[in-house]
Amino acid sequence: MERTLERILLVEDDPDIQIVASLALSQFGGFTVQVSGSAGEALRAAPAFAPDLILLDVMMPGMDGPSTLQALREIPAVTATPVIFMTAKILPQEVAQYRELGSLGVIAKPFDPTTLAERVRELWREHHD
Amino acid sequence: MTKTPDTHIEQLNVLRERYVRDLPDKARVVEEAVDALELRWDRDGLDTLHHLAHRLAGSAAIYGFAAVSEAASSLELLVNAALESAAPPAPSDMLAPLRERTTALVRAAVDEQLRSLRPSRKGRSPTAQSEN
Repeated sequence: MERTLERILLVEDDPDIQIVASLALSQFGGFTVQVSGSAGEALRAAPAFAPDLILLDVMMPGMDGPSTLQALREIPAVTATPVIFMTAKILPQEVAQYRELGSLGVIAKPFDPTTLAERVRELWREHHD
Repeated sequence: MTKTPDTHIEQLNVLRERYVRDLPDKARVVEEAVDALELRWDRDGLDTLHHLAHRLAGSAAIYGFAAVSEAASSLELLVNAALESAAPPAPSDMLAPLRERTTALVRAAVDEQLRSLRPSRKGRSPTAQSEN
């Protein structure tokens, strides 16, 4: 059965970005959003929240985005959950590396809060069409 | 292209006003990280400074404060170069440029806050570029 996009786990360490991204995704995009401020929080939240998609910041203190993704893949509830990375540094070789890790794509920072939800939907559709 | 609903703009403006109110304090936290480095120069201190500058560069850009984002990015680049250098630079060579860029960051943050207190800001796009 085709999976629909309703629940997004946002993993972002900056509280100011958490607030605006959460607003953009939940209020403007209509998604159900759970915010985790670190890899550890995401690993604890993922099994119960069971997201349809994980939006994952690349540069976080402690465990970074790619390492967090590898750890999330060990959790049965999210072992195949699609992931989109968010990063300020979009280098072609890094985008290729993120795709090899299984991400749907990359959203550049700074993102536009008014179009973030639509950008997420676009990447989701590209993956599922 | 779809027009952004006014309610969304209003919600973003509320967040933007809250963000700019705290902006000088955020910049001063960066300044304190430089103070700490002056007392004790080590890699942990540089990592902390890099992280703070990176965060501020990213969030200021998202909230539409380009001058602050650029000042924070400039500081982030300087610290990143020091962290990635094969031969770590001496504190005596680094502290003056760090101070200079941090002072510019604090000034940009205060300027944005003062600008936000002036009237006739209604309707401004939350992601608009800085007026600098």
